[in-house]
Amino acid sequence: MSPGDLASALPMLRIRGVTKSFPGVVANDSVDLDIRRGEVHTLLGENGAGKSTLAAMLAGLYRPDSGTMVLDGKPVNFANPREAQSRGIGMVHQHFRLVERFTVAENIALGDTSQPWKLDTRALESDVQRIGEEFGLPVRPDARISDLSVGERQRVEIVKTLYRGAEVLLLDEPTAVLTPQEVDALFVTVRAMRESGKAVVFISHKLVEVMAISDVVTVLRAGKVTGTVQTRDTNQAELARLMVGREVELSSLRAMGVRGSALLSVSCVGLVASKRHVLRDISFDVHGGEIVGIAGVSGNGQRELAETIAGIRAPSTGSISVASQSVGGKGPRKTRAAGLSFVPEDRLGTGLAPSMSIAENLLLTRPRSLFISKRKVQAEAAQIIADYDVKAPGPDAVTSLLSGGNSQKVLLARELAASGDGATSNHVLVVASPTRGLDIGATESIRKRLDDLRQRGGAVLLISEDLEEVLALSDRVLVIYDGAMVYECDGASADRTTIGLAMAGAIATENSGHV
Amino acid sequence: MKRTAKIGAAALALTLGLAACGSDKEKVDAGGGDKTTTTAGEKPAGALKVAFVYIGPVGDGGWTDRHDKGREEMVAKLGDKVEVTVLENILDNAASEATFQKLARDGNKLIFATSFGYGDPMLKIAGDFPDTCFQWATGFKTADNLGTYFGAAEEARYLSGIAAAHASKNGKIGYVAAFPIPEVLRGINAFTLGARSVNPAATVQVVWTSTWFDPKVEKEAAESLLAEGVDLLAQHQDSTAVGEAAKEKGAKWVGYNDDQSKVAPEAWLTAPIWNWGGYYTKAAESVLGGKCDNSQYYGTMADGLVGLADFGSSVDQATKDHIEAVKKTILDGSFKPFTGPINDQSGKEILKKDEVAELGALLGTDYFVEGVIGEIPKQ
Amino acid sequence: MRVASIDVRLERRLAVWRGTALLVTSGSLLLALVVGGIFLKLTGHPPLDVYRELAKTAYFNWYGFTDTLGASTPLVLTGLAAAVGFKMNLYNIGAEGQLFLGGIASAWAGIAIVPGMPGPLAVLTVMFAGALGGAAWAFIPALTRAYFNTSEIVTTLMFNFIGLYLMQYLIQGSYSYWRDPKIVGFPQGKEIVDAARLPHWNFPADSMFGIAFPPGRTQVHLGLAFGVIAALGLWVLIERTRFGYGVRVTGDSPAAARYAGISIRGSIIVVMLISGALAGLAGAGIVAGQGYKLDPGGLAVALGYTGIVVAALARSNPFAVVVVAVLLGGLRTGADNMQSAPDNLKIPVAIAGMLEGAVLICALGGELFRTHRISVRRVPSNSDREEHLSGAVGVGVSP
Repeated sequence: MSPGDLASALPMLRIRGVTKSFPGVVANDSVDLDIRRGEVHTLLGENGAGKSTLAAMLAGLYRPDSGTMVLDGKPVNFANPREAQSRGIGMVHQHFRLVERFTVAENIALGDTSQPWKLDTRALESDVQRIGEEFGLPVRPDARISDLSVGERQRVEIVKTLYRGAEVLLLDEPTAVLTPQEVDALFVTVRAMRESGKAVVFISHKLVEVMAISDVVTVLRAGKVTGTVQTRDTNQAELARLMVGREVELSSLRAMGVRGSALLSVSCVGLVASKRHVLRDISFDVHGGEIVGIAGVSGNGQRELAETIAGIRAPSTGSISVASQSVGGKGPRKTRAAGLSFVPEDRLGTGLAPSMSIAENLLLTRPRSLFISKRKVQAEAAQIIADYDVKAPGPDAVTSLLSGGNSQKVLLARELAASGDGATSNHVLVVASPTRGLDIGATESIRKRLDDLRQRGGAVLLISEDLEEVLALSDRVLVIYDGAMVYECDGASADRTTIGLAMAGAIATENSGHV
Repeated sequence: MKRTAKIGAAALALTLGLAACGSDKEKVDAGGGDKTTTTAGEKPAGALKVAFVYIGPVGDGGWTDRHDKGREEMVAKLGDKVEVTVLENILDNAASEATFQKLARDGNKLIFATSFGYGDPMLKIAGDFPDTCFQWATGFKTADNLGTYFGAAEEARYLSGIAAAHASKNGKIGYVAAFPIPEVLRGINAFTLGARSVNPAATVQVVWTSTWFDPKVEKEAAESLLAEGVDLLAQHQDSTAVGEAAKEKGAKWVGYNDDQSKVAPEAWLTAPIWNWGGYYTKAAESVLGGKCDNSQYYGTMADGLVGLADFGSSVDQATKDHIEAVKKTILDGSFKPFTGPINDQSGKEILKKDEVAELGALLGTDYFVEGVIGEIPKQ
Repeated sequence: MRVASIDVRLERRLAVWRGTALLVTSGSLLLALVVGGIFLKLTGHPPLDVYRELAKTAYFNWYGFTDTLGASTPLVLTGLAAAVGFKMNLYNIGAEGQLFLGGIASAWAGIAIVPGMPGPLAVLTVMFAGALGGAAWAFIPALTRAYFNTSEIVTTLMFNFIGLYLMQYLIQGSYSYWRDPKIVGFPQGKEIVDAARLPHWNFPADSMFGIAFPPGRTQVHLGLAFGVIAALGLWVLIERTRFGYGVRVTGDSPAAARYAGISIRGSIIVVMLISGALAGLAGAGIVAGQGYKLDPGGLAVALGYTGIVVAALARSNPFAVVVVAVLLGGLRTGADNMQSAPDNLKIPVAIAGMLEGAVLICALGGELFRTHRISVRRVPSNSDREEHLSGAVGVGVSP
């Protein structure tokens, strides 16, 4: 057998019995994994299942407590990421590690010890160009990172990894930050990498994507491998069961609520920020007992719309009313007092104060008072932890140490608490990307809560870049493009293709202002 | 110094700099200590405990150094009759009250405080320690057990002005001065009178620094004067930065406090200097004799409290002879620098011909004489 | 299996145990003493004896301890001034200048408006004037920060210099209202009236508990009470009021504050004013408690800057500020006193500065260990692993 044949037959990277624990948690428990060339291998699991820890060990960020890793037949024990990189293992992190003020080429050269003292910019740029063309990663080497979109930044990270000679690419939840179109583009790149004989380790918890892109899936639950399956031999239901350990139902929650009166009215709202028209003449109502979803590609004014409705920004034109009280531009406190809660897209940092405890965070949207009572919120926090099944040591747990799903539960619980517990509610809830980055279990629980509010007669405005989510939950769907509402349809009979076109700006309705 | 190198290798990077400077200082302390202070064990039980409180560090090359020289002289004379404590770098503000309290409580019976700002804090607590004799340099108030001491630096200033006028080619002289207070104004006036006794057209341009000791500020002030075309610098400052500025520009220099010729031998002419040793010895002897001198002592060149430093190599024999001749008349009392006719800056007559200024008036000097370029803030 | 190397790395602690803070702080202080001890040893001083003498003269001696408390009083207030800003990531470097203005304002009140007032009212008026003066000096930097986002670090620093020159001008550069025209020697401030002076605490009798006290008032004055009350008030304000909560949220995440409808501008301005008022109180304490006049030499001794060090060491906790201020105050008192110690213990004044620096560095370094831990692990040598692994995997591959 020639070494070449051997290499293709044997796994390139062989992991046996790897265990890693942190104080109080066994993050990986005797994990076995084989990574082969020319293969996309997904690590699937809920948040906290140990996917990222495993990847971090492959990338040299952590060392295993025990177990072995063999790369191309040689045992490895990386002391640091640089060592892993020199052996051909590169990781693209979920949070990009790019210097905003540097250009693409400069970022790629940054920290690369093989670069000469003085950058040969031209050679570097042509290399970047070449890699980009080979793998379908169009990037302008001289563009400044601060000018790039999230998707483009991710491309830079991938090019950086490839430029440094990665043969094994670890992609940590790469789609979490991308629009559907960007996801498609990313998959083209992943396939190109597979064709060129590289090994791709794809970390995700989104079943649809996993089915679409992987050859092999290894499912992790609570640090243990619960199964390794060929994608062609499995289906979403099986993967979900391996992942959660029980049957899950994620189908549409759309049960007809009783449509009540208009609780949120947005009329002719326009917003000019930094001399740019960010929102144009937007009008719509959300009635009690309904969920209205706003779909759109990221950056088309969703964030500004949500903030304007929540009172954080004052509209330049138009008016907003909550339960018939005019609130537009009166600030978050007055808007909240009128009966509107807001779960922002950026949960940790906007919705929650990161270094404060769960209990203290409950005070964030409370009405004014001179003194604060810690004892009272302490009890409320304990109640929320129990009711929402929040995985936290207690009311004093700092929110930044919670997982995404758990912090979202705390945030949603706080905002829903304002809606009252009664059988009916005339409360308005504005939620932005409520399940972005969350695992199946948390997603399920959060969608149920939104549905509950609808059942109780509350009005929900769901703003999300995840079209699947919008379609799964909404009674009505609006599409925002370039700051204007360009399309409206009924949730049940929505046509995905038309919505996709509207999101891309290909449909400009004659009455784009009034939907 | 070898020890310092060892520290450098062992200690943290941060402490290194401090370690080096600390050990330098220690060297100074030890040097002083060898000749002066000795541990209590070697002293007879009855030795008089004497404390010195310095505004600056020993080794400043000026004011504090001269006081420390005086202390050494006293110790050399009185030997084990005295036991000396030295505190350096003590700020002369209200917080120094605690320092004087502690010294008195520790049994010091004679305390020399070498800065003006120590006066009020000492006066506040002197009554609590009637057995302790306080001595306030440059002071103006007394108490039962608190006296002041200072001297007629203006006599030496006058002589240094003569040296300056002989050395200056263009007659434009610069003067870096700390604060517009009588002591400093008196010195500038005496210097100017001396200079104009040689060259009636000479001018003395004054720049205020608002600090007694700040080499950086003093040097900047000196450089600003040089930029205006003066070719000679004098000073009422406690560092030697003015001399360094003069050296760099090839100008001449009249220092202050001490023989500082080593700093800039080429530039050096001379300087008014202080010799505190005689007074310190006398004051200690008087306390040993059971008396606290609470007078307002104002020493002169004749007493030896004030002197003129050795001349630099560039001072010619004719100048030296001229100065020696005037000095003789000062020593024998036949000449006082502030002898009329003297006009102030605006031409107003201060002293009539042959009128001699009284000490009281001199201590309240609030004007510049003719020939000074500069401003005094007016009431 | 041979041990080829020891793998040491810093890992983030997943949970921060509350006691760690105290443990790490005391550990840092201990380490600082060890570092200082090495330095002392190398310069030929017996470290233990020096420390014992230092502690004795600064803390374990009635006069030393009261001197220490006196020296600590302004540091408590400037420490609080810095700490309140830190709570919302505002870096008021201007306590120095605000202290000067507090001194100027309180001296003015002590000369101009309190004569005739009864003692307690006069004292309160003078202190209030100081707080007002300090707050006023913080007001412009507060406004520019709140409305134009100008770095308060730069503006407050500039205001320090303006304040210093202003104060020097009032006393040395002009015959201002503050200057005593009767003094012909070195320019001095006018004294404030007796009633406005902060009373000093004196030992009750010549002997107490059988210890004989020589005469003399102590350096402890009513300013210390102002400092302790301010610490208490600040803690209540920050931890127990809605306003303080808003300040903490803003410090943690301005986006969250905006989301909640907390006025960031309002918080910035109020916090800066409180910070300035505290620094102004420190200045008033020096004027009314120590010098009884506006004395640039007594006020411009870097108390404002040292307050930043105090706040940093105290992690902005108001009560810890009091403790740290007393600690640093004692270090300074002790270091001055050490000059008159027996010869073998006599140490350069610079050692106080060095110890202070060592404490700061160790404490800031300690902060890292509060949030991170060191993991030390033995790593088997490569050849051992090779054998071990080829057995396990069962395949030998030549490169």
